[in-house]
Amino acid sequence: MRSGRSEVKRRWGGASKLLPLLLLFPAVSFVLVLYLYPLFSSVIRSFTLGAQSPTFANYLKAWALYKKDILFTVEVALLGTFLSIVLGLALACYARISRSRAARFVNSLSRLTIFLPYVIVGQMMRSFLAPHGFLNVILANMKVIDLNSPIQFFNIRGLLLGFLWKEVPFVSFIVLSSLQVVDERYLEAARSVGAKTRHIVLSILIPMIKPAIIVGGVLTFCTIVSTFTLPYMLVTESPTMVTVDIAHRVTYFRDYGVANALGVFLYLLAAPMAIYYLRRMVGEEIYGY
Amino acid sequence: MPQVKLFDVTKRYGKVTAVDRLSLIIEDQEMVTFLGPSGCGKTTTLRCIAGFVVPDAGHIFIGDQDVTNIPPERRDIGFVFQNFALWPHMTVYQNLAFGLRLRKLPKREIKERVHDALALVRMTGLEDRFPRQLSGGQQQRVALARALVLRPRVLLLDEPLSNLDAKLREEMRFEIRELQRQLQITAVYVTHDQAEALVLSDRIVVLNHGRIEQIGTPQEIYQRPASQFVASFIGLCSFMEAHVVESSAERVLMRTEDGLVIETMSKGLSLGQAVTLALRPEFIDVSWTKPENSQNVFQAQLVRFAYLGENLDCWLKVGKWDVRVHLPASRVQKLDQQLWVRLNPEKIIVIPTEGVLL
Ligand SMILES: Nc1ncnc2c1ncn2[C@@H]1O[C@H](COP(=O)(O)OP(=O)(O)O)[C@@H](O)[C@H]1O
Ligand SMILES: [Mg+2]
Repeated sequence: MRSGRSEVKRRWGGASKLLPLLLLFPAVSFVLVLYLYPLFSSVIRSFTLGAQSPTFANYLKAWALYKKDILFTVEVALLGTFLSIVLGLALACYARISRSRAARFVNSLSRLTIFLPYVIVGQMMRSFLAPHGFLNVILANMKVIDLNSPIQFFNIRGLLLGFLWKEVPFVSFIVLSSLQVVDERYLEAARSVGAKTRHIVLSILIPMIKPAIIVGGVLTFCTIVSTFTLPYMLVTESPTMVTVDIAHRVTYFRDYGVANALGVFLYLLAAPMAIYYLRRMVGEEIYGY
Repeated sequence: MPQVKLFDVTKRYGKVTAVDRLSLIIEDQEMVTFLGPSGCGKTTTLRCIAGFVVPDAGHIFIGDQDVTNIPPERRDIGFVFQNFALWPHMTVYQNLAFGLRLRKLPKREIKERVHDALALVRMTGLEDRFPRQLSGGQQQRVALARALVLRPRVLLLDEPLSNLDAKLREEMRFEIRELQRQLQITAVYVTHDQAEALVLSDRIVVLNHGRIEQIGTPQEIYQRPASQFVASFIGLCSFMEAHVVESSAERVLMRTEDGLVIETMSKGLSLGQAVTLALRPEFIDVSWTKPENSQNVFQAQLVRFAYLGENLDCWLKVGKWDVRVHLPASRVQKLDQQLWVRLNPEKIIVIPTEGVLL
């Protein structure tokens, strides 16, 4: 064994340090060229476009024009993420505990939405949530509303419904795969000391799968912040989301400076999440289950 | 502390009958062990008592209460799992306090009771550790304390020592037994380890294929096994098939099919009754020269041996039968050695089997 290994070392000695770098080169250069370069260039351009020397002009202009939309984006992202986690968790916990066929069926059916692109979701939501669309008609038939003054959904309401429609199953999917590997004994141990189902969910299941919940939350937040199609198709009023403003800026004004400044703002929203997530994943000691 | 009663408890999984019309009364403050090979239904029976499994038929009582359809969280039992099942996100203190908090006890009382329970299993001072920071033995003690801190009506243990190393396992047997006596708690203990069962139990229930093979004190089970299965499962045993050829007031003679005639002390057997003779190694005298007294003496041949330390585990051929004995290493010279064995008539276990040979 020993002599074999030193044999290898002698023959490959010089190359063994270079080899991993060589092997990694395509991947690293891929990341550098296609990802980091555009990222940095858009950050730099947000400070330089439309000016002789670096300035905050683009940011000031973006803030002046789109302050409402920026706050709206934060609001939708926070609210959407929170609701996705709550509902997704509830769905997953129910499927984990009840083990009924119905629960499992609803769960796998809802997964289909994960594979639908947001364009389609936007299309569906437009007809579903229209002033005389399916939802309003149903509500009118149930005498909850009067069809002469239907509920307006082409604002934060519809946006949240659209996001939840896709993100709740997604969170539930991520969370449930963690829940499935929680050993039944932990739940039985809780039962044996008198825990009812709600105690088991709140005190055992949820704390034990906290890492998965954080992953689900972070990914959902980043998706909501960066989705363009759904607000573009659904929101007819002001305020709308920043992604729509970026498109607007570029299409109608060719104003890349402000567009990039708004883009950087989205990075800044997503970055803390990513950092929190990464630190969490590294810092969290993995439980032995 | 109450009795636990099982009446005709049955549990099937598809075609497998895990527990088959099992009836049993476990007395107040008694420690009963379910012993049997893997898959014989020990765990399933225990989980029926706990309420994790609902039997297909039959009834279970704890004290006077029919608990058959009561969920585990309302049965007031303590359960110790083979893999400990301590909640990994809670400290030792939180693991023990969880059940007490659910009962809405005042903070001070929770603190006292957790402290007392930890003292009981000699784990004081480790309150703030997480389970992953404890050794296997320590985790087992905490699991035990968690089951005891609520002062349950019945303590149920499912192979609680089988994840520990051999030395610790032996120590913990005595500790668990001591605790059970001290707390005067009714306890059911599941194991496949006969030594554990012999040390721990007031009574042993030997299970096979979901049914009770025998119930008795460790002495009864060891000295008077009711079947070949029980005899072979508990302690070392060799077997011979024979039938009764003489049954009088003075003596009972058995004859094996290869012509060995063996005297035993068992009464009340009819002529021609087929029996299994079970021989414990410690009741077989081995000599290297032919003994004077020739009663129940047979020639034997050493065919195999294994080193056990001071003694050798030896396989002898007596007639066509394999007989196991332990011999001092110094006396064994070579294979195919000629020996004589004497079977003590009083100690031969006679198990009647089906069939009569005339
Ligand atoms: N949840 C289950 N599903 C299907 N079969 C089971 C289940 N639990 C136990 N069994 C079967 O029931 C029998 C008894 O199992 P068990 O009570 O665990 O045995 P033991 O604890 O004595 O090893 C075995 O044949 C086992 O395969
Ligand atoms: Mg078992």
